[in-house]
Amino acid sequence: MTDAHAPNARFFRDAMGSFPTLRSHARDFAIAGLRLRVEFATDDVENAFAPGIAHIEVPQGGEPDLTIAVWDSDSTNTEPLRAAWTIDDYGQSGLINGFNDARYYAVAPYSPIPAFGMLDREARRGFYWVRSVAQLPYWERGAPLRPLLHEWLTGSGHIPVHGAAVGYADGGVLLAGAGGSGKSNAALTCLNSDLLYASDDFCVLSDKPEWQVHSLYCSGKMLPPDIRRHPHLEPHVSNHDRPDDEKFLFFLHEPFHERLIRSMPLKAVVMPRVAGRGASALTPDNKAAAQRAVAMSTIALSPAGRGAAFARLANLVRLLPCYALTIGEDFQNVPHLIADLLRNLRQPL
Amino acid sequence: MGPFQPKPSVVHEKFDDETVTVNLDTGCYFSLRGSADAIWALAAAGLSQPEIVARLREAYEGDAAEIEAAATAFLDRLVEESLLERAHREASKATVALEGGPFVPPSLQKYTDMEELLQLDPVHEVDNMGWPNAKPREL
Repeated sequence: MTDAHAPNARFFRDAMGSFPTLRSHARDFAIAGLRLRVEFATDDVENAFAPGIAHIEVPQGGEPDLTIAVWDSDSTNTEPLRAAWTIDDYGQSGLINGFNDARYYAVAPYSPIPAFGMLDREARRGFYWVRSVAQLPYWERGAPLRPLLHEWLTGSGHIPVHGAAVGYADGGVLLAGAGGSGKSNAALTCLNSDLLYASDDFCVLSDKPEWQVHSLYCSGKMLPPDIRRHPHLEPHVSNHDRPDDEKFLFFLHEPFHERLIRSMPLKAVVMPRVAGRGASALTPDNKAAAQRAVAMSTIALSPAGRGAAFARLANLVRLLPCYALTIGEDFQNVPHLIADLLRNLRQPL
Repeated sequence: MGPFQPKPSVVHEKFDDETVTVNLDTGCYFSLRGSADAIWALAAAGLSQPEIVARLREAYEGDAAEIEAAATAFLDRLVEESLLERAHREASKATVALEGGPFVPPSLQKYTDMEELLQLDPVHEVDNMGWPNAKPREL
């Protein structure tokens, strides 16, 4: 129980009180059986945060499991939030020491612009503020509200995972590995096949009644040199005016609407590795290697609950078959390899 | 010498013949193979160095002095890597079943690629309103 006068309770109340409602617009989204309502303060805010989750929008109705108010100061012409803590209060992953307890979650994510998010778990309310959506970095447009959704989904019994996922309605694969392993390239290549796409980088797992993967974002990111190998994506680059060191960002909701899937059972864990030469191949791999691939980059992105995520992901890799995917020069063959694997896994033992 | 215990920041999971351990504070993670798997399991179960050596000698075929030397050096390494610490008091010891067979020297592979991410200090600069301004951790 948090004292209503505690600094975090007071900050949450004051911040929510400054949310500009005049032009706000609410939309509902469904994630892993949960209903999220997002209140966007302005069209600019909506245009910055909504495209990344547009594919999971559902008609409004029913009681949301969480409502997040989102605003910036520039487009709403409101005063910036003032940090109520000092440099000494910043903890691991941007968590604010003294502002996090059983009820409140407070995080200042890594960002080139001031940004801050907070959840009141008891009231099922949250807010996310940035100074200016016009300066919102591309990775936040691609994965909007990630720090808050990560915490909320974890608290709801799910496992947010750093991984890509593709497959069919009756079963898919989790593509796991650290940044640069080839997850995005493999998943985005599958958009050009009959495989369905759930994620290129970040998705959500649940383990009851069976292991399932849930799509969270409909974005894809790619290093500029890689676009040559993905002509199907070139017309859909959303950030042509990007700086040279920025990845291309795609929103797949409209151009690939029929190729996106919200949830599917998980049938295998696949660990890609870019070889760049020779033939692409899928070979069985050991479960410890899968644990290192799935769990390590996931817990590195988890502000809290790292030990629990490590243990739950161990259960996943113990249960499912695990494979190494070597991506060779014939990278177009990757979807066929994954499709063949899923077909074979459908066969009764 | 008292019993061992994993450091509170250490998590570990066993898969077939390999154990994966992580120190969540340092961000380093490790693969334990060969007899490392068994030595870790015994240490994590709360046994002391002499008890671990005795169990290994009972279970595995090999030169007793070599087993002792290998196990002792390996336990020192686990302490050095901040995976194990000495328990302040005796705790109940969990039962660990060992498969036996020829003694295979312990092997520890260390991975440091996540160290920077797990230890990343979010605050490199703070603006005049108190907000951190750091290089982001990209997905």
